[in-house]
Amino acid sequence: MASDEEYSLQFDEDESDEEVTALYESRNTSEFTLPDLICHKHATIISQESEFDIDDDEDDAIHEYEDEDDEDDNDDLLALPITMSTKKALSEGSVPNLKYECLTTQGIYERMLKRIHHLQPLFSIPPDDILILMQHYDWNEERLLEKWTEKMDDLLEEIGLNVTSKKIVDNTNSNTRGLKYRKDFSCFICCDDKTTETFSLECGHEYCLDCYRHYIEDKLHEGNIITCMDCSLVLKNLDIDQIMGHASSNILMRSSIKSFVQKHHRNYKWCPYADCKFIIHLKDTSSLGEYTRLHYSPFVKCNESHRFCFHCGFEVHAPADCNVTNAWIKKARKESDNLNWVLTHTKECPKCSVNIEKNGGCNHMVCGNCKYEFCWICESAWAPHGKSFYQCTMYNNDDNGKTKTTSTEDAARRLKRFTFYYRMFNEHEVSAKLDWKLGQTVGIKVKALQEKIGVSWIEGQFLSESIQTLVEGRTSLKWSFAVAYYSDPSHNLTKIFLDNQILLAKAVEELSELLLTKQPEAIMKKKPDFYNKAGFVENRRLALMECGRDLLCKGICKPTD
Amino acid sequence: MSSLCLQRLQEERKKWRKDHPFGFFAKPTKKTDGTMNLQKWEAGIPGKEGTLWAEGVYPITIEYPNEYPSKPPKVKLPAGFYHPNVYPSGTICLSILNEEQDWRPAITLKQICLGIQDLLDSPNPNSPAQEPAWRSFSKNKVEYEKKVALQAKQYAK
Repeated sequence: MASDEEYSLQFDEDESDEEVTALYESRNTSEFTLPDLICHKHATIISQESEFDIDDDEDDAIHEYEDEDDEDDNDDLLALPITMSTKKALSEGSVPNLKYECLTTQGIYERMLKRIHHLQPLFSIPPDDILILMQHYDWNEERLLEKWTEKMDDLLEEIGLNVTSKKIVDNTNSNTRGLKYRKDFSCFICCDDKTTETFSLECGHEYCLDCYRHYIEDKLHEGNIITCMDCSLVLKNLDIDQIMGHASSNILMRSSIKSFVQKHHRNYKWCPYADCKFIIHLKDTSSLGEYTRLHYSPFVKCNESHRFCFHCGFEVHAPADCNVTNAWIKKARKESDNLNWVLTHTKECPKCSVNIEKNGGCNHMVCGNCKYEFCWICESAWAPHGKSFYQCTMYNNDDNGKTKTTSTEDAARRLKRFTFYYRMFNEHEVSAKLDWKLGQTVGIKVKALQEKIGVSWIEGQFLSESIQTLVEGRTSLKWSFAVAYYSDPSHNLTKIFLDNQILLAKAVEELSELLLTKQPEAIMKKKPDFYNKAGFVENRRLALMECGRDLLCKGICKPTD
Repeated sequence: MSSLCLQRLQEERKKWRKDHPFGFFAKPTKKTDGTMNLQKWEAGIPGKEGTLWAEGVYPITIEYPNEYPSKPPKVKLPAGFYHPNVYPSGTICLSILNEEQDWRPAITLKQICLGIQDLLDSPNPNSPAQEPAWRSFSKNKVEYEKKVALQAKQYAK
């Protein structure tokens, strides 16, 4: 993580940028995108050269840019070698003050126990009782203390920690808390007469252990305080464990913490990934408004490295903001019936019509039958894609010539336009998943090789990092189609955005193609390639994200129905 | 149905037959094949003497879930019943019938029936379940009493 200082630098820049509404050439926002344009030009020239030059080329671009801009007061920031991590921090929404922590229910519970330990001197009751009080007040310490000072003894009675004299059953024998062994006991709950162990609290309501177990089992997952089966006297954690015979109160406590998290959803968010148990806690939510205003998204990362948006709870959706994401998802859901055909996993080879299933992320297809090389997306020959630009992200507006259209034609065209973007969005989603899968298998192979020839694990780190970068690149690319769909196609900035999109798509496909290397030995040899391509993807991705944010800030991208 | 639920309901039936409060009735319903359905009961709640409700006997249905007695039964009056704490569907809003509130596995059928009888004449205006009865009860007592008396006649013994 970069230091706060760096964040604020970037932030200030953006603030001032708000006022400079002029053209895209305003110096600050173009920090990433202008070099890209230059790089764009360079890339045409150097496209025949080896991949190793691409990074150098970009550095050149930055220097050129600095030279052009003498009065730049942000020289130090630009002159600094922008490492991947700082860049990431700058654009991944770590705008200042988003300080959060990653917790688990157990972690929160332990923290509560510590608080109780602290509070204990204030109370004259055992910690177990304070725990019940905390549970009763939804773990809200302040409310508890307030009530406690107000009416100590009444509170204990009200919550069921102390026995009220009138509630005691007149049966002096059983008025002790705990388990008992009884012969011919008649349990009122199950109505069985048997020799059994029983349980009762000080109230004397005594029932057989089986009934109590059933009762508690049903209640453990609700997280509420569990009481006697007849009156409101509380079963403490110790009682619960005694009845159940094992540490079941832990389950109850965890359920209680869960409902606490649910109730405080403004500050606490569950990681939305399947089966992930982590919770992100954002102490200060005041900066979230600022995020929305600047069209940043508050992306957070849990300890399992799952990244998601704290605002809308969706995956990392940059360059789209939460509004675009929302509109897009709704629209996609609505239209998806019409588009089912898009989702099929197979396509026919354009040459020999044999059915081809895509089992890797790369869009450069080679037909196993006739060896024809084509692009999965546009289904035309691959040759032009490799040499010049990756044209497939461009929607060809072939209606330019026509002037008059009827409304049905209009609707058809709109649907066609959406279909195109939706298809692109889906292709990259599927590809990201396939890339991930492929990456895992390749990873295992490489690991095996490492163990065989005895290199340290760190030597192989590049692979998992590259896969991570690749998947992130695809995700950004995917969401960029949502932004593109909602952007005014005639605006110059949109065109720049689309150019950036092409560059990222190209970078992503190149990195994806590297993964197709089958032999682990060859992969190890290609390590520098992986580094280069991954760095390239990362740079392109950040540029696209900045550019997308610019579209949003300037209102060129507006989500509509 | 769990054995615990069944066993307990059989016992509830035995106890009810042995002793139940005056004027009340309660019996399990019959399934289509003629056998007894212990999980669904029909009962009648008489209005308390000396109140506007006295004249009627109000029919209720009691449905016991499989999780009974951990979970409370669902008790319903006829749909559209005029009372501030009865939902339009007839479901009764009473704390002892609410799992999150005062339901306890030890609560018996007798206690439930007496609880409902009690509720009839002493509604809880803090948890309204229907608009018309609640509005009249809190704003226009005369109209409320008129309607209650009319309803009592409708359910007269």
